[in-house]
Amino acid sequence: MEDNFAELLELCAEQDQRAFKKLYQEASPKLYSLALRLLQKPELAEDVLQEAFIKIWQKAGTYNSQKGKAFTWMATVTRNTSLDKLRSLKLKAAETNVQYEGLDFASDDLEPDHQEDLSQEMQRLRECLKQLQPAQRECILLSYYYGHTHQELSVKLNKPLGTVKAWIRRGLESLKPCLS
Amino acid sequence: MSKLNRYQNPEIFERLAMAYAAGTLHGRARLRFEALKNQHFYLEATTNAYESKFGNLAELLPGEKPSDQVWKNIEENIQVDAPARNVAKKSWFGWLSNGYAYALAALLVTTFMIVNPLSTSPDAVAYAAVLEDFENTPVAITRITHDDLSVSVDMVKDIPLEDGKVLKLWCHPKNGGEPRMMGEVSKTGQTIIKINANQWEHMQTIGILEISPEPSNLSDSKSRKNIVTLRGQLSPISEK
Repeated sequence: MEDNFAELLELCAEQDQRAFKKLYQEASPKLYSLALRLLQKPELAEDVLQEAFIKIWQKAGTYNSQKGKAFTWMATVTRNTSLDKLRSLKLKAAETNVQYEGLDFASDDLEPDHQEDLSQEMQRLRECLKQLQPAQRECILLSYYYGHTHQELSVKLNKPLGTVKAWIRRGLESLKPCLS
Repeated sequence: MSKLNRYQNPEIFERLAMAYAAGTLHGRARLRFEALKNQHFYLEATTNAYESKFGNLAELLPGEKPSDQVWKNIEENIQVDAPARNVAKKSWFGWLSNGYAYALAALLVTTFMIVNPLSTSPDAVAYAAVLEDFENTPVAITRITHDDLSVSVDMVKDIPLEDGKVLKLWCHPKNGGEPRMMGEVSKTGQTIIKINANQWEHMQTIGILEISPEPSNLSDSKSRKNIVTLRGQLSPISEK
């Protein structure tokens, strides 16, 4: 998957609009899904997706395959654009009608054929995440996918704020050597 | 520990970079980190490395189709944008063609290496830049080498400096954005600045180096105050 995206990005850097359309068609469903979870509103998520893809088009030449997969680069662009949007609108999860929630898609027991679709890097990351305590893993994933703050996680999980902070801190500390 | 020292401590800044990339750094802490990240390339390089790892999480998401209008808007936007991008590309090549810096940079390298300023090759073994003053006179030669992970700046001509000021070296990302301070440079002789592996990787994204006189008490967390005195294109050097 990632090789195709990297090749398409390379063509985008040369202003190839057909390659860009193909890149959009193949990558936009998951990137839109990411924006939807962070923003919770389809119209906002579509605005962000549009903005993110324009950035991807403009910055395609700066993508460096040595530093990571093309898809993760695009996911980072989309996620950061979503967070900027949230910040500019001063939106908080509590103010939206939550439609997208849960972590079923990231559960440990994925269908075997779904697992095969995952990149080696993602499979490695899943192995690292499996080493965390469930609560640590849940907090980190909810932060990544939904942008929840410590306070929001404390309310959502009905746990003291200090406990949530400790789970996240220890979770990241445990992840560090594995990711390295 | 001062704020500056905190962010220069690898243990601390790596933990912050990781939290930023994972999305667990929020509110003012996130904004503060973003501001510092934009000024210090070692913070940005470390953050990018973690963003690349956590970005894999998006693979697990179920795909959801956006409305067709999104693509129509994007298509319209990039077609409007196209002429401006062509002009920008041309001017960049024009900048290179006044190539004094390029010619001098070639003198810096040993005979088994070639300088290719247009290359984005990941095989660069070093980078070089000749920094010129306003009259296009070469004043400083900068080399960044992978072997010893260092930035060396050789001043070939003295620069007059007001009392209380020092010279600072800055790098500019190729894709725009704020310049980031790389360190302090002596106004005479050679200065060596050590870098780490992440910073070395990040050099691929740097287009221009600059030197400006700054107040000696300028903290790394503050942006550049003075006009650039020296400037030069950073060129990758690769083995044949």
